[in-house]
Amino acid sequence: MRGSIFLVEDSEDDIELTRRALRKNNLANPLVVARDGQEALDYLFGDRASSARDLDDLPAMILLDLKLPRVDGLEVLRRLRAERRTRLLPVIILTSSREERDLIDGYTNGANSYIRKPVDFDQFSEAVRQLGLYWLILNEPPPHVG
Amino acid sequence: MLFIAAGVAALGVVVLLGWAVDSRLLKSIVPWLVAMNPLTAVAFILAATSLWLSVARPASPPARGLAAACAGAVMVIAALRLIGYMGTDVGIDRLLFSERLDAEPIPNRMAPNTAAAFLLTGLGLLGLRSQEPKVLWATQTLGFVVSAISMVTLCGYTYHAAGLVRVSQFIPMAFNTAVGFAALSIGILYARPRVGLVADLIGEESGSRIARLLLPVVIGIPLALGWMGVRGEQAGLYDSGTGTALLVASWVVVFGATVWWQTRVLNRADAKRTAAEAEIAALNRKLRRRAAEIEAANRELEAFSYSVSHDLRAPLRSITSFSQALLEDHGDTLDDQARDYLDRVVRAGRRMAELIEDMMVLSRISRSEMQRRSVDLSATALEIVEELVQGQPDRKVALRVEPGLVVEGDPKLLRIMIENLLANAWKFTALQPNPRIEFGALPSENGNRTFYVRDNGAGFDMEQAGRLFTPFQRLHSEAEFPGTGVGLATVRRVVRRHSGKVWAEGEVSHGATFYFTV
Repeated sequence: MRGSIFLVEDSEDDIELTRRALRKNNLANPLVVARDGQEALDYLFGDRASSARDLDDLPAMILLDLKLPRVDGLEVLRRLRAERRTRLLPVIILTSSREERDLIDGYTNGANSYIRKPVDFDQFSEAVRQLGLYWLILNEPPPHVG
Repeated sequence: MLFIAAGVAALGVVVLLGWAVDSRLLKSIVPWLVAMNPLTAVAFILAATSLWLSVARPASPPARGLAAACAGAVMVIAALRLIGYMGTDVGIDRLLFSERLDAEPIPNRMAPNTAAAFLLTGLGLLGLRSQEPKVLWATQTLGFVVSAISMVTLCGYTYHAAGLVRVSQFIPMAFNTAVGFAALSIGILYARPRVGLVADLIGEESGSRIARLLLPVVIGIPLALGWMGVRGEQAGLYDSGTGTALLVASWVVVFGATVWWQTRVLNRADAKRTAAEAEIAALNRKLRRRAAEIEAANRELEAFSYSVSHDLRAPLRSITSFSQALLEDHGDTLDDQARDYLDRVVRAGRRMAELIEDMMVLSRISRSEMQRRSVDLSATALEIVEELVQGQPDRKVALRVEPGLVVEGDPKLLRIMIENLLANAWKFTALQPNPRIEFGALPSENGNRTFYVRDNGAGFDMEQAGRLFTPFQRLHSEAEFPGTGVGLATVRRVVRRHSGKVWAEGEVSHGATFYFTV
């Protein structure tokens, strides 16, 4: 789906809160959710489960949690950056960690941005609003490479 | 030392008495030997006085003067006598008991070797008080030369070697004079036992111990064996070749045995030291292992507290956010009480989020890698003050930062510390009509500076001072002064990581002063 937001997140609560924040901020872009790292890779690179999907149809931005079951967030990021097709996709790390290690690893592996989830919903909502405004509207996306 | 001085002085007095009552025994101890000249006796008394005054405690200026005068007198006497031998004889040694001097078998004069020894002794006595290492070296060398002169003379008497007791045809040094010089030279050498040659002898090091064991052997054995050899030869027990052979053979045996004995002593000491070193090394290893264990445990604890606070955030986010969502989306269908309850949930959630945040800051301070470099605390404080003023431009606070306060430490951590202290002062002076905040340092004592942040704000009760630096402990109500009570705990951790100290003084409504060292 063109212009979609791809959320990789294992917490149902956080998925719901993200959905709500998008709704509150009138960001109507479709939201696609993967609940672990493997599911995310399957969606982006295709496999048995989702082979029916058009793989050229890439999301406009990826919101990526770091602590994920099966394949963790950093590994997902590494694979994305290793692949020509997904190399330039905007990836925003959205996590509750503020460990210096995670920040460095995130940026080193090619994250475009790093956002720490605020506890307060108003702040979270504001963060999602600004993300949407910036990455979906203001930012000129990279040319499509296939 | 007192004994030596008293002994030498007594020797002089006895000889003078001997001259007065004309007693051979008192004048020369061994009746058939030459007597000590009365002037020599006087010189001994002077030298003994000088020696005693030089070492007596406490050292008063008059005592020092008198000591120098006595030593000088000894030198003048000796010099006059030596000049006499070279031509211009003033006969200074013939002033006392002159008629009895001529009654002696040889006319009694002060011997040239005696005069020379006195000259050296006088010089040595003059240098005793000196603080100059070079002078003390010279003094002790003089003491050695004097002891050598007396040794040669004593050997001469022991072995009946006339050539050793006198210089060419002149009158010999008396036997009791030689004994007096031996005592005096020991006195000079031991007067300052902590420096120079004597210090080497009396030390606790193994070299000094060996020297103390060897010296009596090296000095006593040749003397005794030589004397026995000469006596045996004179008694006609063997000829001179056999005597020398016997002497050398007995030396070889005695010194060989001594060397073996010393080797054992040294080896035993060595073995003890090696064992002690091994023990220390083992203890050191144990200590290092313990330290590593403690550090690992500490790290684990910090990591635990970090991950707990981190993991607590996720459910807290759900609680707070969905409460907010309820209020926003369904607020109009809830009654006032339900909305109030939800407000309380949200407020408590925010408070808990703050606490968790502070816990993580604290844990990060303990875990972060320390970097040590020069940090300008004054410049840091000025930057922070600027930020505080910009944050609340309508507040009028008298701020004073002492310039040029530089320390070694971690710039990031020190900044966090100063920030907390100044922000604290800023916060607690909010209700004060003429607020003052000051950052400075106390006058330096032994190079370790004590810094302080002082305010005239709300202050605190000194009885509660112990709780100030404990995390999440607060001495003021949240309504009066907001905060989580982690600021000063952070300050203490930073200070501790710099091996420093932090403490506070204050009085309710009269301000507080926080002191620290890093």
